[in-house]
Amino acid sequence: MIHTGYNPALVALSIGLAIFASYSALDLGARIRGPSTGPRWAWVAGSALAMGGGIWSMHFVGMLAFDMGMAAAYDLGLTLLSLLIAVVVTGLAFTWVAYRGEGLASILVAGPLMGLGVAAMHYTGMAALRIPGDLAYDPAIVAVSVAIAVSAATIALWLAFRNHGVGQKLLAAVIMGLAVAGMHYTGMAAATFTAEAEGAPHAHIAMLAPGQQNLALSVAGATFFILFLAMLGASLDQQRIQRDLQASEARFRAAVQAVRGVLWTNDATGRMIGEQPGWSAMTGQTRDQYQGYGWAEVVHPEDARATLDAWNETVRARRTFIHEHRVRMVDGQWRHFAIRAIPVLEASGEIREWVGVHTDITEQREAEAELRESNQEIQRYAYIVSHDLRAPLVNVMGFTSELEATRHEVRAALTGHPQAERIDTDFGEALSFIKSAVNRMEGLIAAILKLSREGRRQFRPERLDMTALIQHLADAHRHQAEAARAVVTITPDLPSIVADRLAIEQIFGNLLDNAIKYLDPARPGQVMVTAQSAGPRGICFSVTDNGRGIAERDHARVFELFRRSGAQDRPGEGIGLAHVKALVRSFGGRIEIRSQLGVGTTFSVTLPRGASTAVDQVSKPAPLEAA
Amino acid sequence: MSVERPVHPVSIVMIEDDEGHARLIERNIRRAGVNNEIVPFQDGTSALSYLLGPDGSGEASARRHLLILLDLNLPDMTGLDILEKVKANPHTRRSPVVVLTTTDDSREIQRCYDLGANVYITKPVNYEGFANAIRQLGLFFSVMEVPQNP
Repeated sequence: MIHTGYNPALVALSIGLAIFASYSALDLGARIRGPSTGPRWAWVAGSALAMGGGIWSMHFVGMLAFDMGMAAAYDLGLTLLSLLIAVVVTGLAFTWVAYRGEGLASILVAGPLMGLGVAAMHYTGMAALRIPGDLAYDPAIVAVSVAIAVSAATIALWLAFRNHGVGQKLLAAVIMGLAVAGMHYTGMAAATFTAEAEGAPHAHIAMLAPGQQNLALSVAGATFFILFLAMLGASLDQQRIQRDLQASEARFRAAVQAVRGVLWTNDATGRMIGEQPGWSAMTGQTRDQYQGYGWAEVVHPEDARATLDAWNETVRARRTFIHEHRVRMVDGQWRHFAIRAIPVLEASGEIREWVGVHTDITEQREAEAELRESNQEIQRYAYIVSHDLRAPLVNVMGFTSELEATRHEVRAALTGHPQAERIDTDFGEALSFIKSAVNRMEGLIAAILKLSREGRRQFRPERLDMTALIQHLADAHRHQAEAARAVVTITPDLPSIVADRLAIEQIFGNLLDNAIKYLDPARPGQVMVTAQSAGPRGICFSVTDNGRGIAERDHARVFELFRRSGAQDRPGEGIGLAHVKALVRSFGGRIEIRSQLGVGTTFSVTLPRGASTAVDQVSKPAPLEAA
Repeated sequence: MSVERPVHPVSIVMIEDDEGHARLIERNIRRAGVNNEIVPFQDGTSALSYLLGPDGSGEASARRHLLILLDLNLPDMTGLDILEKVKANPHTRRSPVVVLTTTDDSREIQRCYDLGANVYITKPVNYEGFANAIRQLGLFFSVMEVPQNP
């Protein structure tokens, strides 16, 4: 047993080195998963070099601070191996975090790995020691030293990847530095040096030979220089991130102005806090007035309750908030707003705040209301007109029939009169013209009435098996199809939709009827019903025939009321397609025609899969960018 | 029926704003052999004043035998208003009311029966149907018992 001692200045230097190296390594390490430029492996390598090199130089300076009372030398190979172990193992730990994320599970792997790296480096370094004596370890203290390294490294990594403030990073660095230094000095305490028999013990005060001291300072100096370069690199990267952040903030401000909306923020619990310049300017509310739930004061009384309920529900469910309500402007006017707000998340997944935008949709709503009103007006108009036109028509028709009876009486009275035949013929001709005109008019009025009724009918959406529905319609047209030598083919497994049964039957019934009615007698008729997906929410059904086709100039016209195309050799009033188009549009769908004269026609009806109600869109909350 | 039961002369109150329709209805009722008095009105106000009296009490119709033919589209009020008042008044509520109108809206029909209409007939637009319906209505009148109003 020989006496040993430490040079306090070098011990302090070694601890300082460990902390500084840890800070650099953790700072670089945090950039692995951040918004930094450059490939990940470069940041991993940088962190590993800083950490591994730091551990190694701490160890080396620590060894130089140690006076073991005998001449010591180092095996170059093992010393370099110990450096390599430190770099590689810490590199592995950083790689693990880089690719497995910063979750607790990942840290629980990387932390112990790093601790073991520190320990492995130390004991390999100790093995490089060449002394004229024996070196023995107390296993219990060795175990304590490894435990210190493992637990402190784990805590340090956890802190470093959880927090982004300089203070917290510094704390992590101190813990990591103490892990390295604590492990080293505990490990040293586990060692017992025994001089060889004739080995003369020298003076034991911690006095270094000048050469040894210079070596310690050079190692430390070189290490500090390397770490300084690492910090410089990191700070340049930090500046770039800062610039990006400023640019994105400027972009954000510009976007806020560009969206014709008012931006506001609420805290995590859904209360309005802090300065809300946009909201204040719009509503005239002061900070005291809008704070908390005070903003609800300027929401229209009819909308306020529903808004608060929806808002609280959204905050609870952490969803995207989509709502509409009226807000009283600073001038006292009520305006209609669409609101959309999203939760901004911390890296840990907790809500940091809510960011929302009020978009003024007053004009849009007014235009919609106007449109709705004018649509209703047209329908009322059509209804009244057709009703009122009917009443005089009954008279025209009625008295024409009465005249018919009178005509027979006149003929009887005129028996023997020379002009009797001519008078009766004239009488008959006039009456038949009146009657046919009235019949025609009656048909038109009935059509307008039917269309206006369809417009007023309430749809009852239900799930419809389209294959069965169209097959049923085709069966109803079997007689006409057979008369026209036509085959109706329906693709099996047409997708089902949710819609009003009667309306869908009318749409496809009319299209099938037309397809069969206007086939070309020159060739066997073929009518096909197919479907294909049209976007995420729509289905396009097509009714295709090989009939006589519709001339291109009539493609738009066929959808107009009372308009027909081609040879007028089939019965019809020109109502079917107008009716179909009105129905398709009331479903929020569209109808298109493709046709070539003499070849055939395809009518494509695109309908929404479900009832066309607004679906609450739920999008993922936006995570906060790590900065 | 006036022939079979002269003791109870039934009057047909016809409330119809279209003169032509009124004339056609009358002609076809007569063709069915119904000779009862037809009291025509072209607007709701004068019809109500006849049915309920100028004071609106309905006393005027007490002990009358009335059958009311009612059109729904009137210039000054809807036939529903008249129907409601007639069926709510103790002196007129027993009088059978036949609604004869162009409307075939199902809600309108339900409304009329809910208010106590006895028959609802949609005027057929083609004249054959119209004349036929009125003649059959006339035949129906000829076998119908009309109670005396209290």
